[in-house]
Amino acid sequence: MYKKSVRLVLTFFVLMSFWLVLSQNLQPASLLIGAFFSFLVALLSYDFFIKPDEGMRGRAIRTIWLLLVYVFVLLYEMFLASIDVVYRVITMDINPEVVMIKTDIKSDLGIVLLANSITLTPGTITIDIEGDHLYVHWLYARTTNFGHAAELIKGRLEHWLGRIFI
Amino acid sequence: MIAYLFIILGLVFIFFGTLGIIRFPDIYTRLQTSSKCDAAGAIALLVGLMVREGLDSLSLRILIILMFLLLTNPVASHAIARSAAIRGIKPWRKKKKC
Repeated sequence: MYKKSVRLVLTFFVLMSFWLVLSQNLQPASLLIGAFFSFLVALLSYDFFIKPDEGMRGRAIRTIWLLLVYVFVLLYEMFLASIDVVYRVITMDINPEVVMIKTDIKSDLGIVLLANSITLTPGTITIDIEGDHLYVHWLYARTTNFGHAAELIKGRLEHWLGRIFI
Repeated sequence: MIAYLFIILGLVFIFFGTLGIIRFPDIYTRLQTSSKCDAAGAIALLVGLMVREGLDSLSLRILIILMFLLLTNPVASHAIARSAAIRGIKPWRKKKKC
């Protein structure tokens, strides 16, 4: 559990670093304006930015580290799948199907990230979500079997997300 | 050198993604190539620009654009696919050989 002040200060620092990166300006007036508005926005939005029941400090660092690794895994998968889709565009060898898959991830944020990753990987789009079932449109369906399709689509992505969000 | 390799890779992806919009039969399959191949292509392009620029304040800004693209692109294509599904557009199927 974080205290209220800690959450406020963390939000302020994130906003302020964004201001510094975007404004590229170290003059006192610019810094002052940035600090003032960062504080104002932090005061209004710290409750949404860091939820009160969001884990301990050590766990937060681990989560950020794993998320960074996850972005690289996702980029790797994206490029493999892109090459596959380019091949499909050239040969027009497609077999589209809508399949339903089930995920083991429980937390809402985890499911949202999984659905977005499936959409971001070329060849598959998440059409709808009901509870922990995802409806996925698949450009080249190798199988329509429930379990096997889930294994092929989620594969590595869910393995990594499962380590972050359980 | 590596930078130009990335940029050319991005352009190739975007080219075939756009070609797919013309060639594929229905909205879902077109969405597959148009949004996804273009996302991969744009990311390759931006990474190429970052490598070319080196560790700089400009490449930091490019990194922010890249993160923004990674977050918003799937949401947009998911919204289009879901609205098509709600309107009852049936996905195109390959004709089975009898």
